[in-house]
Amino acid sequence: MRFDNPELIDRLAAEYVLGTLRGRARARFERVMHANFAVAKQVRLWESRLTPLAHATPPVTAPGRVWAGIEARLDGPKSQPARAAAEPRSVTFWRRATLFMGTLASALGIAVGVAATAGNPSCYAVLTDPKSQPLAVIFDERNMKQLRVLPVGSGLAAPGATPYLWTIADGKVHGVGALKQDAQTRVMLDGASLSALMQPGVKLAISAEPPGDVGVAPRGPVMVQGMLALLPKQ
Amino acid sequence: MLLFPTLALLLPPRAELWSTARGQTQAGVMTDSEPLAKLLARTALKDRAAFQELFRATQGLVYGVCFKMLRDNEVTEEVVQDAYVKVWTRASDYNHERGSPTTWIVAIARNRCLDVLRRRGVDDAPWEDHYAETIADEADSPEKQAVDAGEARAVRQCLETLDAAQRAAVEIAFVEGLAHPEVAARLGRPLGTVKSQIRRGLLKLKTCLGDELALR
Repeated sequence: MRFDNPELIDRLAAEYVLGTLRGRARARFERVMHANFAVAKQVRLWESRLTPLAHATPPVTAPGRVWAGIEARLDGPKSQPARAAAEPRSVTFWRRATLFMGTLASALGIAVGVAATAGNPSCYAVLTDPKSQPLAVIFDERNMKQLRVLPVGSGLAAPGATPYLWTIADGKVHGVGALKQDAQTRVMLDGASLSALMQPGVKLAISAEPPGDVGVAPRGPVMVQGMLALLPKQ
Repeated sequence: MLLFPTLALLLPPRAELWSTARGQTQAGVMTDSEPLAKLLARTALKDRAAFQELFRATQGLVYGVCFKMLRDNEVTEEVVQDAYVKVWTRASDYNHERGSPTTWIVAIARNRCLDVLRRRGVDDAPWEDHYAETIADEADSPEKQAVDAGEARAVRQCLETLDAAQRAAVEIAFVEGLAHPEVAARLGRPLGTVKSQIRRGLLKLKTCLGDELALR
């Protein structure tokens, strides 16, 4: 089988998507597809052509345990299936975040009190990656129209990319500002950012944006995310 | 200032867009994939609630498609989970060149099903053994599922341009995930004939859809 023949690639891509390409031929084609952008693109084209044939399939409701199983996989091996019934997620998060804040503050050599004095933050966020590793801490100093973002260790390191802060609220994503990878950033808040921060349940996220203008939504992969929580009163 | 309240009355309330994806008593489809694209974008930002909405809006179709290929409830459940975990992980890969969000998700699921079928080899289990269960589930008025009606219509119309033999071969291969020998056995035709019918059928679809996509 030669893979420099466009007609052959097209035919194989079609049969790959249809499902009639099998056995060693399928395995070999998959290897080529993963290594070759043009072949992958042909496959995607055939997927967009043929897959809508499936849309007429009568729906069959998946049993409830399917979602439970998905959540369990996303939460990792330490997840307890009973957790969903025990506490609302936000309460659990807040408790963990508060405990963590104290530990983190000492680890970073900053006192929460000191941080609190600077701009009088009322809220903070600990942003974690999908493995729940904390990689950034944000102090919300809205009265000074700014957020202060502290990377934890080398958490925001992203070679060739710019960490960029976003809010997610009410179904909308809003870009707040670019961040330094290895030092505290003071991000100034404009009117739109201030409004976004006021939405209930607002989340913060940092993505690694490729060079060039930042658009209305992240183009790069999301590094971390988290929710704002109230700082305990001093 | 006067214009704004009027506009607000004309736009559907936000809640309604989401509620069509939640449990409803009528089986049916949403035709607008824009809400799904937003849910997928939020999923890329690791918004679990958005991901759950996306799951609700698409799970019935995905489960139905996989079951038709795998014909085993336990395996289907596992494969559907695999597929959605991949959706979660790769949500930021989606762009609309890949079709509607539903198409992208179903394609991920179908690929997983084909992986399983490839390992399984030729399936000997009688189709009828599992069919009874499927019938019962379909009678349960499942939640409205989100598909892009335009996309589905285009390929359906193009499928009509194939001759009956080509259409049957392509459809049964696609819907049931059958390999060439299985299609040949099912339709009672020689293997070579089936291969050629499928190949010609796919070429016709490609030509037809080329025009369809240009017109859309």
